[in-house]
Amino acid sequence: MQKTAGKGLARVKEIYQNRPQRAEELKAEGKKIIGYLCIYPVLEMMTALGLVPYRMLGDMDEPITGADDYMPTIVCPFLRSLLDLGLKGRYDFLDGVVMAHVCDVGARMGHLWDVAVKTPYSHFIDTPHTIHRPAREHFKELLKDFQTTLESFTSKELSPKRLREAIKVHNQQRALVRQLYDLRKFDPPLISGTETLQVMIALMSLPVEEGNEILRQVISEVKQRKNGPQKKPARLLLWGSTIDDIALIEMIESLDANVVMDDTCVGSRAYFADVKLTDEPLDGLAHHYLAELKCPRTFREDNPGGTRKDYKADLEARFGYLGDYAKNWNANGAVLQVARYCDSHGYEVPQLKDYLDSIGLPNIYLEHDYSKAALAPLRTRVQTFTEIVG
Amino acid sequence: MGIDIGSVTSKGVITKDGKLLSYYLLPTAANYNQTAQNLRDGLLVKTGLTQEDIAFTVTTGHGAGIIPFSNQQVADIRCCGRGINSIFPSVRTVIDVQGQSSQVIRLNDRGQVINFVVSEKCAAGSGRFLDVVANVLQIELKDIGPLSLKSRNPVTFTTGCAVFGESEAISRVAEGIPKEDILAGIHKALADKISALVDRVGLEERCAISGGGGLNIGLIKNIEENLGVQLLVPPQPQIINALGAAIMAEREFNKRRGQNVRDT
Amino acid sequence: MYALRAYVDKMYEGGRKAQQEGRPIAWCMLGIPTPILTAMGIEAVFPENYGTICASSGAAASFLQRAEAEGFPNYMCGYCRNGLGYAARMADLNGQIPPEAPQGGMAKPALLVGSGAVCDARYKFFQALGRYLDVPVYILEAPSSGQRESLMEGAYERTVSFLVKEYKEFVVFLENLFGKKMDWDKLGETRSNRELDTVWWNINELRKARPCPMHSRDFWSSMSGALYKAGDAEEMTALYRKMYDEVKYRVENKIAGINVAEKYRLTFEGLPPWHSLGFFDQLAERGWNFVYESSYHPARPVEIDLSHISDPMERYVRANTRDLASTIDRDFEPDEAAEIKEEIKRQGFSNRLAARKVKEFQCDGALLHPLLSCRAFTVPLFLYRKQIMEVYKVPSLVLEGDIVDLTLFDPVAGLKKAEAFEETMDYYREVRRKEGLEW
Repeated sequence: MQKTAGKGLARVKEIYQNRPQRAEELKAEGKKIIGYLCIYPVLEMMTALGLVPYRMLGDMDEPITGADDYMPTIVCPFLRSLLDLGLKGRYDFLDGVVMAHVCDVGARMGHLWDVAVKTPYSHFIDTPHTIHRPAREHFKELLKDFQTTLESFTSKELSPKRLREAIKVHNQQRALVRQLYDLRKFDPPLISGTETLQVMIALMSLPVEEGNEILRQVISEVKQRKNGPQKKPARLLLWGSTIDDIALIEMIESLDANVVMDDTCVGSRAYFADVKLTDEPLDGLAHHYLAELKCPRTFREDNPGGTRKDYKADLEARFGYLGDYAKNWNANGAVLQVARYCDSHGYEVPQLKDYLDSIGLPNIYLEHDYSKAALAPLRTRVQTFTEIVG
Repeated sequence: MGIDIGSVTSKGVITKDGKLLSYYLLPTAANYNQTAQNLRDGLLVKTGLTQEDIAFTVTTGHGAGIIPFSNQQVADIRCCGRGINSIFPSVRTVIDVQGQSSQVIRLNDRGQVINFVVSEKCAAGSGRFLDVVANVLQIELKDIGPLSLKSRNPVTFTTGCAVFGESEAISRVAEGIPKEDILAGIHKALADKISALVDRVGLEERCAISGGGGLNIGLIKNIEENLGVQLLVPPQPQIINALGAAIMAEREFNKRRGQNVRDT
Repeated sequence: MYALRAYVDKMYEGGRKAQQEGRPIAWCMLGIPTPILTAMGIEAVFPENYGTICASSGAAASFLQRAEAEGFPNYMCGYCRNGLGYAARMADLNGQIPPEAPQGGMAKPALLVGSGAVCDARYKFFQALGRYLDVPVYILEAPSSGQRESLMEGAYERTVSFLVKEYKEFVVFLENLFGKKMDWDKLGETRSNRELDTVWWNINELRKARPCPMHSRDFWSSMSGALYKAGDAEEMTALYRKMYDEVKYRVENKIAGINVAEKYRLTFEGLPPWHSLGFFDQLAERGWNFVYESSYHPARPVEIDLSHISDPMERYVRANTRDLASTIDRDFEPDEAAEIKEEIKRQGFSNRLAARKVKEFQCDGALLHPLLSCRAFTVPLFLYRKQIMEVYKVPSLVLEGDIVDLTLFDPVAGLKKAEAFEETMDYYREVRRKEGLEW
């Protein structure tokens, strides 16, 4: 094993700079690495079979070139970057990929990846869009299909016992992440938004137990250190599209603001509900991975199947948890960031703004194109916003 | 005679027996018709010929159809192919970098188009990207290429958007980054986009560059590095479409007169 | 085919009439099971179709502007922004139809029924409409597994079982909302819709003839009846039968769908530029005959024996849900079908499957129309371009545009590219000939 910087935040920063490092080491030891897109592929099923799930992300520093041959420029730049990296061989260490029906372009990515990049094992989970009962039941059937191909790929059986153990370990990670996030309730927060994102990205690059260990180290470290974030007047909640580079948060935190809470898929979304341990483990997993992940790609409403329509109640059902976040983390402003061409988040914006306005939380909408160049013009806007809320 | 009305510059060419006799350039005015007339007048003065000496005129580019003295309009992509073929018959791939768009054209041995792709609605894929940054840096267009080659530490431009690219260039200037580094970065970004275009139709050697981009040594070097080939550069790359138009004029004229020609 | 055009008008008129008579109307979209609504006496209106009407008439601009003013990003689907702008205007007027709305506008619905079929953005659109229309939104599931996953054992049966349950819950919801019961006999009666599908399919099969008797423009102006299934199936079938006779006559007398000799056979990929259909006339003058189009095409009608199934909902689902394995078996000879299924199981895709239409319709080229506000239709185009070149040496011409924004499509530049593309098509015809392909 390569020499590392050791523990805690130092190790996190090392992993953030060179994400595939640990995965490549494990591969050399004979482990199989499975790339997954977004938070919808079921990680526990992979962990239970001894596979190492590895979150597939883009690279904001890599100019997109090859992907232009397979995708038009008018799609989510994060996904274009992802495909571009695949074409450039940056994901050659993967033994398999698992994708899900996360959005229009994401749904087609599985197919494109099969044609353009070709990874030995590949599976697409057609995650339903609603949480109707038939959808939840069908989703469980789809997970059984996923189980079939995983078992075939590994020549192992995915026993309920193994699956329950995997659920416990992943739930431990969720609990530890929530503990870490609790430390951001302080004023000033004990860990910055920038550092938190680095931790999350590190977790998504490691086997779950190693991630848990790092989390414990980081929690202990930030509780004890003296040189944490400064107190700043603006405490912001960050919402929106995939954000897998610290550039945007760094930019915000270089101004009079701390990002104290987030609702993004490389942040809290995968961690703020535990998987219930049900008799048949797939039941708890199906429920969690469809009903409890709060991405806008899933259709949520107040009173599903009901005949009464109440816009306010609907907003509360869809966004109430953000109000809770703002309250519990004492946020005095929200930044709604959307990557250009992201439909799932783009459509939400006016309604989310209605909700945030109704609870009196000042908010600002930022659109960017997943490049550092795009951040410079946003700086003055964010600065002005922090002066308003702080 | 061949007339090419470009978005920024218009070009006229007179050929005789398939050889370039004279060429003339003018900035494109708001009135395409007027520009075409002025081009023709300029060419006739240069060559000492009269209107009656011109047997056939093909027009291409913008407003090609409204020029009264045009005998035929031909698409610029086809003119480009014929033009390059007349100078470099071995060329099978042309990279044509114009002010508003870039295209990559695959040719057969007679300069006919066998495939092509155009960069669409995107300033970052055309010479416009360079114009925008040259403006920010206050450097003449003719100097940006050579200056860019002096860079030892090019800036990386990661955005695919010329608007953001302009703003990024401004940021770099504010940080005190040397102009040649910014220019080198922007040339690389454009070259990368163009190479991606080449990938879409495939590269077959020899490969040539045409259009205003062919005057830019920085761009040429970057594209060569990306593609791993040496680009053939015509002596006056901006007039290739007009040259091709004139060649097609000659062939069409001969065809109509029933003379023996190899192809249309 | 102006008689069919009248049916589209009738649809909107029907919506307004229903509103006046107190009958419920629902705003729907393609891909939802409209016959379920019809069987419950609910009138269906289609905002996305209305988007094409606004685009063609030029009315879209003001609705798009309004949507942007409301805070919706300007890269979102043009149909959706058009609908959102329209709904915002309706909200201004307390639910009345905006006076500036073309073709009499769309009446305020009692219900929005959407799904993720075709694209996910559509149900986000209907969800966003909730900001202006205080009516329930019901989103129906539309399974769309990957090819490999669709070929797994039991996949089709599981999909059928899922949709039956999903649609039955939907019926319960409708019964509660409208206080009336579902007429299961009416739903069970799918014979006339199947006949409609069969006639329409047969008309399009005739387009394989050389020269092609029917151009895409005729397809687009006559597809609504079969597509939306919101009218009287028997009346529509009678109309389509007349159309079949006309097209058959053209085949027998070698009359092309364009008024000049057919020089090139093209397929159109993407959503049509509704606002600039005249462009195709200019291409037709050059001998370009559009013999196929990727969107809105009917699936091959299938005769399956449903007599042993008593549940009318299950009969409906089975009749309207495709099974990938059976589709491959029907479209290819047994050996090739087996190879294609093997390819899909092994690598997840089959180029031959994707490219089959250019072979069936003997296309010389494909016109690809990337849409600046539609990701669902634009993303597959790039792959398609590679697939038809690899398998059948058919080249593609790319002309960008948008579904409602007129300014993005450039017919002048397009015509120039088309001219250059003719040389490309000539070249690849030679290539195909050398490779022994039939056309």
